[in-house]
Amino acid sequence: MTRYLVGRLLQTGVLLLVVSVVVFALVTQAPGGPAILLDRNMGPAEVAQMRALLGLDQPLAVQYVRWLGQVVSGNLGVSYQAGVPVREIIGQMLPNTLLLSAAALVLTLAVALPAGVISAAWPRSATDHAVTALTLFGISVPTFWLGLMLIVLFSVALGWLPPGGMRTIGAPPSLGDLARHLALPAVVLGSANMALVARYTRSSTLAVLREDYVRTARAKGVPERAVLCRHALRNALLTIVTVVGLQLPRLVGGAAITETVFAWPGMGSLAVRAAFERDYPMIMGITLVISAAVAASSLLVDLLYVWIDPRIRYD
Amino acid sequence: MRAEIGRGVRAAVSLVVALVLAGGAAERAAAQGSAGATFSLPLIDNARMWPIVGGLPNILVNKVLYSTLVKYDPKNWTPVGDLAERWTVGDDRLTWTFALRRNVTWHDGKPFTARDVKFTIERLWLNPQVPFFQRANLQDIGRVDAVDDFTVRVVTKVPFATLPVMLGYLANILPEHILGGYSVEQLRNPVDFLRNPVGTGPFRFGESVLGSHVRLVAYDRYFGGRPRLDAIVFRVVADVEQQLAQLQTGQLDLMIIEPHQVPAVQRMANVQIVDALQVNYTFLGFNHKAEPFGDRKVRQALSYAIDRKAVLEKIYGGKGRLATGPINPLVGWAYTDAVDHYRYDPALAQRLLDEAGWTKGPDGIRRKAGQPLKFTLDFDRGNPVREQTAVVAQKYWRDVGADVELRVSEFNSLLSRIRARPNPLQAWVLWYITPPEADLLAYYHSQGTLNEFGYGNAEVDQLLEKGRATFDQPERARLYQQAQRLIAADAPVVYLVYPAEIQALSARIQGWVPMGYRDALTHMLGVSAAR
Repeated sequence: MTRYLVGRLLQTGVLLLVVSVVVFALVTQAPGGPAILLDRNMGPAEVAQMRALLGLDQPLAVQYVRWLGQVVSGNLGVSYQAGVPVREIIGQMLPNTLLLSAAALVLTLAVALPAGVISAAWPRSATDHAVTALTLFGISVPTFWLGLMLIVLFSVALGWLPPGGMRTIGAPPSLGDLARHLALPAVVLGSANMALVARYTRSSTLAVLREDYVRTARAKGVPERAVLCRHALRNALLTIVTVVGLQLPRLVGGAAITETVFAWPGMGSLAVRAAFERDYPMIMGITLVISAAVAASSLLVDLLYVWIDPRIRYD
Repeated sequence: MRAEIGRGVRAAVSLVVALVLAGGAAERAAAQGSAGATFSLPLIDNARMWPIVGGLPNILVNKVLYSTLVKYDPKNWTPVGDLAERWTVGDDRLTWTFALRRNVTWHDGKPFTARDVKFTIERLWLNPQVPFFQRANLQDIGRVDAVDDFTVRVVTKVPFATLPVMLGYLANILPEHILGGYSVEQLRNPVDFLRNPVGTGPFRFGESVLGSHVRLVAYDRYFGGRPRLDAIVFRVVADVEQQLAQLQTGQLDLMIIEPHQVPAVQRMANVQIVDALQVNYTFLGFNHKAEPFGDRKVRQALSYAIDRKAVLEKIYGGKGRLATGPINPLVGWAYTDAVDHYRYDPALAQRLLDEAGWTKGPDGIRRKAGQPLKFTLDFDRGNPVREQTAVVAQKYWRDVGADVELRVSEFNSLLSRIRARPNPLQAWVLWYITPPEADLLAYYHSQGTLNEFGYGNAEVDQLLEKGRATFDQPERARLYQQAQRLIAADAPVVYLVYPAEIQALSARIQGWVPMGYRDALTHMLGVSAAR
């Protein structure tokens, strides 16, 4: 197990290096340049001076090696736009994104798991059809549209919830205020995955329900609920964990569209702005954190397999 | 076991409901209390409160947090005192003397003096090691002497008649008593100072939450008296639909809208629309170094080919007036409309192109020496006015025999190409916001640093040089009026519209000055909000 872990970590290191090279090449070669060089008031001399100060007058390879050197010493550089260390900005945005994503994930699981199991237990029933129709809607509807509709309904028309942001500015921070701001984006972010997870839960539960041991359990007279929860769901979880695990990096990366639509101060909206402004250190920093999260969550999923299915071993 | 889970879920649900309801109470309390006298407006990104670097979010916040030596009178856009009370220029036309206000304090309570002005200009603006984004506008300043605590002498290298105007344009004064000991490295990006920036504006720094907002609160000891508002909040809201929702629900008090959004905003009971004036113009730019734009007749023809009146009515929703040249009518002393207006005349456009040797082929496209009249018009994605302008221009130009290809790109990418030398583009849709001045040297002088058109006219060059060095206002006006006539005749670009900035302003706001919001933010002292 230890050897397996060490191997995986080494792989992760190589992966991060490759990703950083590719992303660095892409962002620096993209048309346009850092927005900070494009203020309309700046003359060519000021632009040249700013470029030199940011080290952008150096060959790309030199720029990359400098960046890598910084990163190795734990420094992600300073954001061109905000003038604040990238690590500090990510440090402030990451908890916001984790909060939103975790709320969305909880919503997803709370709705999708029961829905999937129920529609698998009574396939082709009215309930099943209703769940299928709803999940299809959830998968098809674009996030920004759902977001806007919810804002129009709950904020503009009914006035129940704030349309965006994370707290009421000028009021002392409170949990309730946070919850009100969290409600709409969490529902929107959760709804897309809800559909996905419900579909997977339904199909994998259906598959398990056809297994011999389920028939045996039923023959023994085990109540149907116990069959479903203890025998079927436990085994169906393997697929579900994979699907949910694939979503985990989004916990860290944030949802660009949802965060932007709701002006949620997180990693997703940060990444969008950084990309538009060609804030190279910011883009690289975000990429690094998200890549690390992808690697970590896939490792986590592989380890969860062992716990769920004792037949899987990594020696 | 299941019952336990059930209890847990019920408890969690009731906790969430309770929290949500309690939160509503907090928000209502905030709305009735201090937030009632708060003015909120959106930023598209975090602001850096360091007026040495540019970018719109920074500029907006810095307008309120800091002061300038002069600012602009809302009535006629001429410079009036801000930190300076009055100023004179000596007979040598090089030595300016500014008398400073005596009752100004920095937000930390320390007095503002001539040393702050000297420090800001010499150590920051003119320091070649500090990347000041406005240096091109102020580089003719030679040195600054603090005559006494409240008198500053500014000596320019050459006669520089526009100095007061330029000092009012994004040139904030910074505190010597804090920054004086900083190294050059620190002055480039003073991270510590920016955690608690200190200015002399009517609002002082309150809090900054990255990605969320900047909150400035009324400064009780502001030299003009305490502002009527308690606070100004700049909220980071990049998405326009979210801005509209926040405007409608009262989280925002101001946003800038596009003409097509006017009907929707007019339906909001709590919002008024302000057509604010701004020193600007929109245009279709040509690269004179690229064929066929080196030929004046072709440029004139392309100007006559466009029905700009229809463009103003249909695309700008009538909000603005037809542009006659690069000087905005708000610069009243210098503006003249006694120039060629290029009224829509497709027949004349056709004739001019014929005269220039471009004859129509069977496909309707003109040719000269076997080469078709074909070029690319670049514009940026996402702005409906500029997108529609490009499409309409393509159609008008096609009508007179030009084969125009449209190319859309992100603004960032478009601007970096326009500013490359040599400019790789042929034609493009753009606009300028300029200081309220007639001085066009940077844009229309053949050696101008921002002359991306590659325009050159020796006579115009001379007039612009003379204009900068002439102090007699009627004489300056005469020079710039002559320059406007020559520029209009040359049709270096197609001048489209002097657009109004369409502001959607909360109806509860009073005392707002109807200038473009960059400048309106320097007049926040008398603005109030009904509770």
